[in-house]
Amino acid sequence: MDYKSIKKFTMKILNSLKTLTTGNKKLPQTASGLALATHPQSGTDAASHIEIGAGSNAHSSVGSAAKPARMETRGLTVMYGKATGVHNISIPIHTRKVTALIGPSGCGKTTFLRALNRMHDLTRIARVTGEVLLDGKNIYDSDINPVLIRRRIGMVFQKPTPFPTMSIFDNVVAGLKLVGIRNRSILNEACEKALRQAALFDEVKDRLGDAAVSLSGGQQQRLSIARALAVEPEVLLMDEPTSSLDPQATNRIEELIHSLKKEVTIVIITHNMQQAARVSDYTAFFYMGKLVEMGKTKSLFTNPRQKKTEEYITGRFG
Amino acid sequence: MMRLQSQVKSTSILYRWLGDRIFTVVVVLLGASIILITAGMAWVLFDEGGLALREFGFFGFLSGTTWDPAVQLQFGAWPFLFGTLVTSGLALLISIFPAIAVGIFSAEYAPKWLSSLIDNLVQLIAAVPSVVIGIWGIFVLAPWMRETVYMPIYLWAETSAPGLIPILGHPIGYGMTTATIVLSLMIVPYTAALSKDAIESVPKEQREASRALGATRWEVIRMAVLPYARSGILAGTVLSLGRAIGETMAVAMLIGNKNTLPFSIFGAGATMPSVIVNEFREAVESLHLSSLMAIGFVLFIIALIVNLLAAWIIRKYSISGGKVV
Amino acid sequence: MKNLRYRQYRDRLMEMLLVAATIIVLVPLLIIIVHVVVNGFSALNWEFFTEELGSPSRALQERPTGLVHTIIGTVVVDFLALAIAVPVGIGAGIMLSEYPEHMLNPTLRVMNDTLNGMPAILKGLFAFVLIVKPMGTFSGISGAVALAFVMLPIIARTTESALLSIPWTIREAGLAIGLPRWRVVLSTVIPAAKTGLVTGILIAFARAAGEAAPLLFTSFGNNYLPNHWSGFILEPVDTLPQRLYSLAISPYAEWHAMGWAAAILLLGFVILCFTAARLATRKRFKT
Repeated sequence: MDYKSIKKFTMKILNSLKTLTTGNKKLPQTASGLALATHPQSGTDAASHIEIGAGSNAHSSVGSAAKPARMETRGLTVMYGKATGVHNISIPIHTRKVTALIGPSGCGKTTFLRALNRMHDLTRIARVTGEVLLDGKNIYDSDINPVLIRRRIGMVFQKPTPFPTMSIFDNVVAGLKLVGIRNRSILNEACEKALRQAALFDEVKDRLGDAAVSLSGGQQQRLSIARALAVEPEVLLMDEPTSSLDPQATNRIEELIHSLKKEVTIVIITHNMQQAARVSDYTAFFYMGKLVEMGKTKSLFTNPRQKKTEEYITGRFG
Repeated sequence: MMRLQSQVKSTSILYRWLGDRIFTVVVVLLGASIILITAGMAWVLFDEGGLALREFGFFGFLSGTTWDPAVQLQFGAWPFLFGTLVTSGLALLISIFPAIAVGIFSAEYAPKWLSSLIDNLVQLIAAVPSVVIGIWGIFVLAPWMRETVYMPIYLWAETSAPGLIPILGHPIGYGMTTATIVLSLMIVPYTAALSKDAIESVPKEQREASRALGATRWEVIRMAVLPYARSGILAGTVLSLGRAIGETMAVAMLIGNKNTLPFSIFGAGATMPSVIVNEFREAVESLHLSSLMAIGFVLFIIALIVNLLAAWIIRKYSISGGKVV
Repeated sequence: MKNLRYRQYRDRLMEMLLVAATIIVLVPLLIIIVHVVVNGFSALNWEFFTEELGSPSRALQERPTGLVHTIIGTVVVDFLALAIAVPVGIGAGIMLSEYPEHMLNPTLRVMNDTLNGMPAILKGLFAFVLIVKPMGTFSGISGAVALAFVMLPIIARTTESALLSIPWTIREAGLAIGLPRWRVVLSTVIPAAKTGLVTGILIAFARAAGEAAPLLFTSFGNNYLPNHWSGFILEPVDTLPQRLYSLAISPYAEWHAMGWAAAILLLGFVILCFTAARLATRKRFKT
């Protein structure tokens, strides 16, 4: 099957599903999460994706033709009760680049990262002010649904988080099943694609039905990445994804990040300066809840502008 | 110098070996006494019930449908086994979903103050003694049920469906239905508290992982929380069933106490604990006493099975450290 | 295809269902408590605390009756039970937590859980065979033993978890400075776990104090004060839960009212114990 026939086939399924459930062929958007590489909107420019809220299911594809969303923060501040988590952060998140967040523990980098896909909504005491702009639209606007935001901005956590009662396959497609995709061939295809992206497919292709927890730690983490990729996010947030892994597994994840950035914008927190230098294009240094400086990774590591940055990257504290 | 050393030695014999020896012996003896009590209880019930079990045979006793302490001196436990299984099973069915819902709501939805209020209420209600629920049942629930539920249905059946009358039974207010309702009320706090414990033990990461996939609040519960907590919830449900089976006073006060089959929906019935409460103090025939003890023995075995089942569920299906053990 | 609106509608619906279920469950249970409190308080009077019950005719002729003998009997039987259960229960708890290597430990754990799961009425039957039969009479002490069987497994379990909550390093620190094991347990571990122990004992006490089933065949019940104080131990004794049961199933309206009064007294006592236990736990978590 060549590229064109796959595209035709998926389009057909998409359309039939749409008519089945909505009865309205004129709906402009496709089902969210269904976006395979052959998303019908692929090729249109990013401006048509701005309507993220207001019940629209549209989200752009990460297919090679589509352009991932532009993201930046403006004056982003997170308060925990009276204490400030991060204060007044304004940085760009460069499209299809890897941005590393570094800084000593407690400097607010995790707090910042979790503000980028509204994970703070879950903790009642956290209050977010300022803006996170996705294609020019603030994701904290009242007409924006956080559930949709989290589909466009995926997240991978410190510890691998496979759902222990599900098989490998069910884990990968969990996000797709949420939006009601039950068609086996679509799920199979999406599962394979995500597992390939996460460089896990060859290791598990013969045992997709096995329990996810039967995998090793490094495999579990790649499974978590595959699960996040399966819903085709435009941005992937990674919170120290290798901190619980051995050096070999860490290596694989780093290679993975390298290949992923062709398609996805990545923001990664790391404690490991070498890792930041290896995988990232841009680096932001946080200290005491404030952004000290941000710039191209190479120049930040070789020629930091701030004294604090220099002290941190040369290992004098942290 | 030498003197000092020997003195230290002689005064601290407790500190050298004797103290530990004594302490261990005392503690092990106290621990062993619990083992003896439990084993002794099983043996005593079996031994005292031996007369009846020999007379009718173990399975003959279980399946015997006649319980006649007055004339024939014939004893079969089936009516009470049946009554226990029906009331407890139905009570569990009625209460399980609302109780788990309370657990979910308190753990996942309620703000902190409301959650702790609900928890305290549930604990408080679980602490209300069975006899107190019983007196409420006798003077409030049973009359109310008779007037508003049983009588209207009975009167309707009398005129339009006389065939139902024997199934419905006499609507005196005390009977199987009243006992089942009270039982379900009594096990709700138990199931709710155990489900909440199970739900709260689900790691935060699991919730966040499904949130990050774009799940709504309910989808997080369905996808991450409930599957992870299922063994705890299931074990809690089994333990609640055990609680219902052994529940004695409230049931004895409300079930109407009729020791012959057939039991009817509204009419009087009996359970294993309720028949022991009702007849033990008046039993004079040794075979009657022995039969009641034998019912106690059967109750012991059922409670044992239920507890072992709950422990087995937890061991078999529990998820610890990200591994299915 | 599930579109977003459907998913959010379902989310909202489930939330409403959960709220509804919570209300449906909690409201009847609150109604029970309100009924007991209202009926109980209106039935309480001074004579309730100063007179003995006597025969039904006493109540029917409106002569003063009360449950003073029941209240004293309850206190005697409950505290006797506590005196039996606390040392044994704590000892077993120590064995469970401090001697994990002992060969009897797994058996003890299983047996303790089994005992905890047994219906209280069976403990009454056991105490009947164990004490009432040889003594030839129902007695307060047999009731205390039956209640002790109820308390024992609870105390052992809570003691174990209270002791296990003390970090193992504290024990190692004690052993490292040359203290023998018994000294480490008695003077470092147990004092550190004190609140946990007290909480467990209070919970066990409250649970046992509400039990009527084990007392029916042991302390049996009595309408009068005994002639001599030893009668509270060696003769049939009245206790609140069992008296409440007898009053409630009696045919006399006057006794029904006294039953409500007994109910509020019993409920108040049990709730007091539980509140104390909860407050103790909360304090422990705060500091």
